[in-house]
Amino acid sequence: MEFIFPVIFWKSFLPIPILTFGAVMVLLFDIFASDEKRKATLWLSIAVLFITFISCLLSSPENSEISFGGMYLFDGFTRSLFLIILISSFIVILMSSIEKKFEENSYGDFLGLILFATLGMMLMVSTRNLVMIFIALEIFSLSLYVLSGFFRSSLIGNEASLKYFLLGSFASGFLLFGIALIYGSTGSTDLFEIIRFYELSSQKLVFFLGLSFLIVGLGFKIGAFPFYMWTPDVYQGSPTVATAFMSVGPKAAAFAALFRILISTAGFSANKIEMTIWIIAVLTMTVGNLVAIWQKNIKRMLAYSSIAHVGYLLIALVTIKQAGTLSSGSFLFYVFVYSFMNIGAFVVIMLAKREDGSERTNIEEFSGLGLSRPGLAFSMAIFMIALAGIPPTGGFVAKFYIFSAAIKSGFVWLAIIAVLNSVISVFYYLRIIVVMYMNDTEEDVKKEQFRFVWGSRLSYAVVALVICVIGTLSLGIFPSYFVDFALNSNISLN
Amino acid sequence: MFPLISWMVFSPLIGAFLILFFRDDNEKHYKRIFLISIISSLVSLLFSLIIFVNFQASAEMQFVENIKWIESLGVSYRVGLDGISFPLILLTTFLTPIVLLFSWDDIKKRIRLYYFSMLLLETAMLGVFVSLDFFLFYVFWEAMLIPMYFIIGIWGGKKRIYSAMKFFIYTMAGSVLMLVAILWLYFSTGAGTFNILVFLNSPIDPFLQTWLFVAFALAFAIKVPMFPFHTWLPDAHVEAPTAGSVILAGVLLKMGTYGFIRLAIPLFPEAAIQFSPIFIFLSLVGIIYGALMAMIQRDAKKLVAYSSISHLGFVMFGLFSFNLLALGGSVLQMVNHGICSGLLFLTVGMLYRRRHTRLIDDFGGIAKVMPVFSVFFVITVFSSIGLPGLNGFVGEFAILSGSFQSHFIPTIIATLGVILSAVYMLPMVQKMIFGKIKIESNRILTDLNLREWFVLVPMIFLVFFLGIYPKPILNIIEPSAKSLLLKINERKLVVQGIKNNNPPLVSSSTITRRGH
Repeated sequence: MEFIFPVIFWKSFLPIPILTFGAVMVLLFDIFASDEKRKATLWLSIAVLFITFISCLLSSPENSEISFGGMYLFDGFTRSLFLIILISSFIVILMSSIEKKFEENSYGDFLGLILFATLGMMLMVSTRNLVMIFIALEIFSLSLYVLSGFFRSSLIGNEASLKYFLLGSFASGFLLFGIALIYGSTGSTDLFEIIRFYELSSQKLVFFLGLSFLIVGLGFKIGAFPFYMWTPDVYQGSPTVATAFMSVGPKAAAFAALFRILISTAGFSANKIEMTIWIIAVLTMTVGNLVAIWQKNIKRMLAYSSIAHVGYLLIALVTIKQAGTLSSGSFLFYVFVYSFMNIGAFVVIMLAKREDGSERTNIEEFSGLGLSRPGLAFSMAIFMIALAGIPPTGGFVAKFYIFSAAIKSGFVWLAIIAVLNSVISVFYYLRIIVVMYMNDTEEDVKKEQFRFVWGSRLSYAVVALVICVIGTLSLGIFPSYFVDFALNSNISLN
Repeated sequence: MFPLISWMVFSPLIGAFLILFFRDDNEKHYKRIFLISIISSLVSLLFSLIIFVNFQASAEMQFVENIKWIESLGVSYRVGLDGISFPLILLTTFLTPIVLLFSWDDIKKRIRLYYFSMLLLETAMLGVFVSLDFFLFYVFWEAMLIPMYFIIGIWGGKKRIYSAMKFFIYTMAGSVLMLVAILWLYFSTGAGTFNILVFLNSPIDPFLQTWLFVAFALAFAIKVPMFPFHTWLPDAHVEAPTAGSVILAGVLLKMGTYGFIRLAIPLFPEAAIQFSPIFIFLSLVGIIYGALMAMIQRDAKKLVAYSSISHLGFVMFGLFSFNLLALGGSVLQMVNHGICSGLLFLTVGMLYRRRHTRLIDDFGGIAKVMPVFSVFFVITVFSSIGLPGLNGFVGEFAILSGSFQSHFIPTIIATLGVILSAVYMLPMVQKMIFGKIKIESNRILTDLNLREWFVLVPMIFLVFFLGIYPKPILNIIEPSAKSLLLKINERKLVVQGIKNNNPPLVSSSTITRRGH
């Protein structure tokens, strides 16, 4: 048998080996470095992310480049998602530096897991092969299971981890089963070839069964209705850093896979799947928004809010066939803004810790923050306003973009439901502002003295916060460059 | 060309960001913040006056600036002003420094955040009036909500959080549907631009017009507010601090009417004509309902709030009677109501500042202890009633005499509103200002202080000036109103032609005569 060496476009493939090698290096360094030098792990992992980022920027594909026979696919969509995922990982690593509990656990392990999860997400967005999608999903899912239970002594964290693991494996089972059924009916796991083989297939029902299993599996990962049940518990129980991390990247990755699947099947099953996702989108955003109103715990509220945002993102998915790059571009822009505004909110939660190191978990505990920590409260207000989709923040431009994709494709009702939903969301986002600024208890609140020293652990998190604030605002006021960037990020299968 | 409009719009914003760099923990710092905010709003006023001097009396958009913003979506930063928006801009730049000056004695906590919100609000309000791009318009339209939400929610009265939320939700519910309508409009015409002027000059499919008009009209009707959507207004006006009420009544409400006159009516003339009976009916209900509600109020501020509903009913009535005199009167009435209701809220606020109550029964005989204040207050009330020679009269008279030609019975009902306004205003004056001093604590009230003089005198001056010599403002308004009406009447012919199965030209003589 003759072995044919697969075609590899090294330039576009480069980010993957760099990140793999870098992640292993971070782990090894943490093992072999002395306690003194171990602090450099943080810088090493940031450097790894930075080099990967640069290597992504260097490769600017005019067309898509396919390596390893479709296992690795690099196009504008992939590249944009790479950049978004890397930026969000960078912010999460910056904010992780103030978590004091890491001293008893191993901080290096944490960073390594973040890097491996990042790698998994990047693999997931850069493939058209279902098997590869599954492997990538497992790579980042396993990292996330560990991350959510990273503080071993925390009971609630253990619960979250176990819940996430059990339900997650269940969903992975669905995904795998779906892949098997699709393979059985078409004889391929390559999304591009499935298009061609579908016509020849005599097992069309089996194929659609497989497709729906696939959507169930990925729907679980993005937290869409009715597979969202794990989200609030896991968000609440996990360390805040891990929650921030899992609120953006993994969802973006699973969405990317859904995008490619929908593009592949658009030719022959568009209407059925479109209708299904239409309904899922409406239910997801409505349930997320309505339940979020009643939450008392801020992380649970943000969990339901993230479910609602998944609902908005699903609009972009519904419109992919009619709106084309407007749809995928609006998705990219939304995720980009979302990574700033949502992670930013978690950074605020971490920074709002009390003197004794306990986190403020209930929304009521944020009372008077506007007086005691004005800068922090102001940032939180910006993030909440952005999440509610009110100009002049990036959140508005992102929603505007997604709704315009919906209306261009003729889904006017979907857009109307979505905008009414964003009115509902105002209730709970503004409640945070009410608590911080308008509660009556504020009179006895003293202004907390806030010592800011460059190079302290606190300062890294403050840098993360500033990045998030600037990102949220500048994407609302000067979105032009990024809108064009997203619009030009072509998504394809070949 | 020097970007006059941009400087006018953004100089408050510059001031707002300067403020953020100052600490606000003692009296000295307070003063510094206060001064910066006053100065930046005065700079904005100065620019608007420069524009006033250079304003040409024509229907064209003037001082237009156009900068590309999001090119791929057809969004640009396009601003300009004409005779309809400019009076409202002058009103805004004029009112803001006055309320900032007024706030000094009122606002004692969170000075920095307060003046920051106020200046942000001014920028957003001016932005709404100058935007010639839908995207830009919407951004300013929504951005306005946040500072107002803060102003009501932090410095308001007892029910402030509820009122602020209600204000926010109501307004946003209307405006998000407008967003959908804007996008629909954008994609249905395929123009590839959000430039408002392009849409104003291209006819839109009648079926689409109906839906889009409903969406736009809902957003604006909530803002005005028209009768069934008014419930947020009494709450927000009463709970807001005085300065917030002045801005709310003076400028924010005008955005609803401005939206109708700038967007909803000229964009969808056919639909507007078809819906006009409903709108005339609702505005009449608003006139009467507002007046009746004002009559039974015991709280002076609530009375003023309900009177706003009644007065804005006149504005809407004038707009939808599609008549040049009435239309011009409506724009003038917007400005006049801004001054009148602003003055009413300011004077009631001055009383509240001294007595910490706004109940009419708690006062009485104020004229004896505060003579100067009482004179100003009475002038204000007379102007609000519409006494000839004062500004309130001119607008209402123009509206009524204009609409009289086309809508006989509705005009008679609306005139009833003028009488009713005397019925609810005069007893208030009588109970509060005249008579004997019944409550002991009213005996020690002090008359106006220097700052309050500075607040009231310019406003009272305008009351007389616009009442006796409204020509400068009318000159600004007229050309734009004329060209707007011309366009509507052209459409009217088409609509009537379709209805009567006649060719449009048959009935043209009567209508065009009225139009000129």
